[in-house]
Amino acid sequence: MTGERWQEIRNVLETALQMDSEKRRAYLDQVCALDQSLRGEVESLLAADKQAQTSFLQSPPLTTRLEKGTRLGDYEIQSLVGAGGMGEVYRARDLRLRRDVAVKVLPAVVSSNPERLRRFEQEARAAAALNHPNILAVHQLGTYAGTSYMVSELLEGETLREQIRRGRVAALRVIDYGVQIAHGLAAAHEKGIVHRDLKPENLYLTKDGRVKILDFGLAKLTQSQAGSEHSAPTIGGETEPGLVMGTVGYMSPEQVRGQASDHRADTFAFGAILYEMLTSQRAFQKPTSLETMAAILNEDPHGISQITPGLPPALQRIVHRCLEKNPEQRFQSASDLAFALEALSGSGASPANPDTSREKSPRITAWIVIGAVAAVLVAGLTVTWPMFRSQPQTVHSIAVLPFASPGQDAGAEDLSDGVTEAIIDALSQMPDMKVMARGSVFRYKHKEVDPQQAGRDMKVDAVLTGQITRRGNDLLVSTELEKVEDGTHLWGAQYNRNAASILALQQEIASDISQRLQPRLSSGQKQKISRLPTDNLEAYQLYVKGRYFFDRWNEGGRKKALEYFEQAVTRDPGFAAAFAGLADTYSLRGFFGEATNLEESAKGMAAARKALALDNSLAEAHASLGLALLLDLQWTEAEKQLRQAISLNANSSICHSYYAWYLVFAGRGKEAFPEMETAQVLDPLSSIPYATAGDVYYFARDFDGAILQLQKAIEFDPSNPDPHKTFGDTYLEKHMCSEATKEYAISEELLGNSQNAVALTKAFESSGCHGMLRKQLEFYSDPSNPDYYPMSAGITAVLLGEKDQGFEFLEKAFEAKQGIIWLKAEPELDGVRSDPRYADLLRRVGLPQ
Amino acid sequence: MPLVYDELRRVAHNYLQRERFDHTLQSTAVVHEAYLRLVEGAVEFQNREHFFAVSAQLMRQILVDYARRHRSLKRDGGYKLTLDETLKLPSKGIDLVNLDDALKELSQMDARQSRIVELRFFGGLSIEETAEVLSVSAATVERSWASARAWLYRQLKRNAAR
Repeated sequence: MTGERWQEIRNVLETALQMDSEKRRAYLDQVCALDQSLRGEVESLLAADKQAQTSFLQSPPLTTRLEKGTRLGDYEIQSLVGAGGMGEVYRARDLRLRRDVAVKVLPAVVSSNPERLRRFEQEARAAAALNHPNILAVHQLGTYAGTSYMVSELLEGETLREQIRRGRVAALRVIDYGVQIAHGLAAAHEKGIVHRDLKPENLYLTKDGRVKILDFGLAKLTQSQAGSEHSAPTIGGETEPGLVMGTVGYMSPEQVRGQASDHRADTFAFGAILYEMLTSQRAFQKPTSLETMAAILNEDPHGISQITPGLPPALQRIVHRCLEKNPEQRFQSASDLAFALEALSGSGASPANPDTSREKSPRITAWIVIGAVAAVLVAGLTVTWPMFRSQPQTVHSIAVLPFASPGQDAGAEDLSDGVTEAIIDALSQMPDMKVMARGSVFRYKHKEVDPQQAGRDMKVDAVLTGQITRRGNDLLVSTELEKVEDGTHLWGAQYNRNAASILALQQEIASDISQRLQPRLSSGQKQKISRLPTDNLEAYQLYVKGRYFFDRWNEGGRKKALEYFEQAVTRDPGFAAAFAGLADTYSLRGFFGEATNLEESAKGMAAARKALALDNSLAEAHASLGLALLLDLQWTEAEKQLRQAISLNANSSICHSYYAWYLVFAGRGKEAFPEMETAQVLDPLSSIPYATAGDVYYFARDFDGAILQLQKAIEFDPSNPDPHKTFGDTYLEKHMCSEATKEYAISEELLGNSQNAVALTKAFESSGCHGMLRKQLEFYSDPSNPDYYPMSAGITAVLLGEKDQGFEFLEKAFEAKQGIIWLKAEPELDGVRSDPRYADLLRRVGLPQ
Repeated sequence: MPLVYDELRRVAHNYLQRERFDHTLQSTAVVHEAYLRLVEGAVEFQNREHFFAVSAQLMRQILVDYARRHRSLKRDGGYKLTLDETLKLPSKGIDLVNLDDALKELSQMDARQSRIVELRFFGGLSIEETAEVLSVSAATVERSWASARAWLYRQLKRNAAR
């Protein structure tokens, strides 16, 4: 048939196919009137279409895909969830028991052989009867249209293969998985069931951290027809040279030889899997399966430590012992294996299935000794392997309590503060994890505190505690994570390192914790967590001190912070976070009138830009620039930076506080509340977020709300003058001048201006509110007075009804860009809002009316 | 070069594992072979569509090759290829060698229709995906697919009768 002719036929055919038979006939009568052979062709093809069952060519040649809604007995197919060598797996609904299950449809090759099928059923039933938490629970076996299927529990997660594909698995998790797999195998072996095709594809990691062994009883079914009973699994007879087959790499030497194999073949495969998890390389892998098999028979895999250094030697020994060529030299039972691995995990308790009784064989005794020796060896070398449980532990918020440093070692104390700070910063990078800010946790420094109680105070799920001991150049860091709710021990580890490597160790601890809490982080996220802020220890410790003083949130604190941050950036001129700290300190000093504003602002801006140039992904750097820009009245840019900061690190309390300020000053008070609340959740025991909240409520004109927040701020830090000042303003708005005067006086006292305090009190006593305000105006407008602050002078003058004088000072504040950001939000300026000079000023400040 | 190669490998691997093959193939052997051919053939995929197009073509080649060899082995009296056995079973009575011949004939008449069948049947793509690969509308694919199916069915029947 020519292409042209076919196009003609096709056109008619396709149109006809879309019609019902009656219309079709009329249509064909019409178009084929002059071409009966066309009609013949179309009719014959229409007949072919009718004959061709709907399934013709509809599914690819290698599948038996089931459609949604297909019923297999009591099960209704929902969707395909995966496929592997042993058939497709569907999510299905158990209509009788009203639960979701997995239905695995076995390949026809299995279903079509009655003998194999019988054996499969026998073994699958036996496996199903095991009812072990680490073995896939099989509910039922059935047949449908000549195809066999197996109904099992529905798992959510991924196969170990998928995990390995992403890279090496941390030793801790390898042990955890290993213990679970070994327990599952032990239960099966006890019943005489051998898996024979254990491989990463057959091990499933559920979302709650459990390992499930799949496909018990299937292995035998895939043996080559020609082979003997015990020969190679999954190898299908002859294969093309060079074609790497699925699971050759996990076969034991006895399976390769086609000899009888027993449960110790599973031990070998288990070893190969552990090896691959630790190194992300196959123990045996060659270009062709024949060569791979030869390697299994004759070669020892590379030492694990050559590929992945730093693993506990005992763990390596366990793996290599599993991989012994001679089954007699391997672990003789999976329970021995589980036991040896558990000894490494330190707990001795079975993580996954405390209810499974271990076989009491004489070998156990020997292994107690070996296990203990292994544990001692490990402890002596670098690390004792943390205890852990594999039950799901949901932790969404965490507080790192200051690490203790026993004795009077000031150096060790600096170290421990640094470690605490670094772990907080690193953990803050975890998604969906609230990490308490340093301001709150450092309240517990030097205090004997019950971690659970501290956790409850901060409303967190888990608390990390730690201790640092220094002996000469050796540093011993031990740390523990516990659940606040019930004091459950979630994780613990000891690190024995050279003091010089402390910076790397800080990140390592943070990485280990994040690994424990959020094992499925992306490599990008992991990288953020393990990134070193600086490689200069001295610079880091100076930085930590700077942060500590900065958090005091007062003039003295900022003065000291400035010194420390400056030293830190001198030691390491590439230290972005220290530049960010420096920037904030400069900016706030200018803002609070502690130094000549324009000069400090310029320095703040420069330092912030420097921090950003050094590390564009550092949230604090964006926050610092945002603050500097805000104080410089560059509203749009400021908001961009602050939002960027929050998106980079949603855990930074200070970023949320800055943004809350921004919003309230920009006249968007409503939006400020959630930011302020987030800041408080992240830093619940420190005065800063409450002082900020006091501002937010005050500027939003909720004066009672402001009082509550300010009381909290003062409770957490009675030495901070700032909340008292806002307190005074608030009382003034509530026409409670006596209380206002008291608060102003306290603020002056705390600032060290006792004379001013006395003068204000006297003025109020002799001539009331008016007199007190006059006195304030005197201080605020006098450049030689420590209280000199044109913005406050302007506001006070307006309150006193002196509008002209008021605007004079507001202009000065604008020129100095100091405090003028309050212009729109300040309630005390209500008296001049309709004045054209106010509108003009507002416009120049860059805010809409 | 090695970097490009690695990336390609990774992409191919992902496709094979997650995207398409996972849902349509039973035989790991075939997946492996397709994978090896894909990565070792040093094809540079321009995009996802290109990848699907190439892999559907490859699947066709591989499966038809297997079927052809199986035929000749059967003729020679050799019958121990379990791989072939795996392959033969689920193809539901369709003789892949005959289908391949018919498809070649179809491509003479209408190359695009032949590709549609290749993508749908060997590649396992849906109507929508096929439309995406060929940059045509889903309606076009659906119509072309229906007529191609009818023609192929008739052709296979005729050839079988011969």
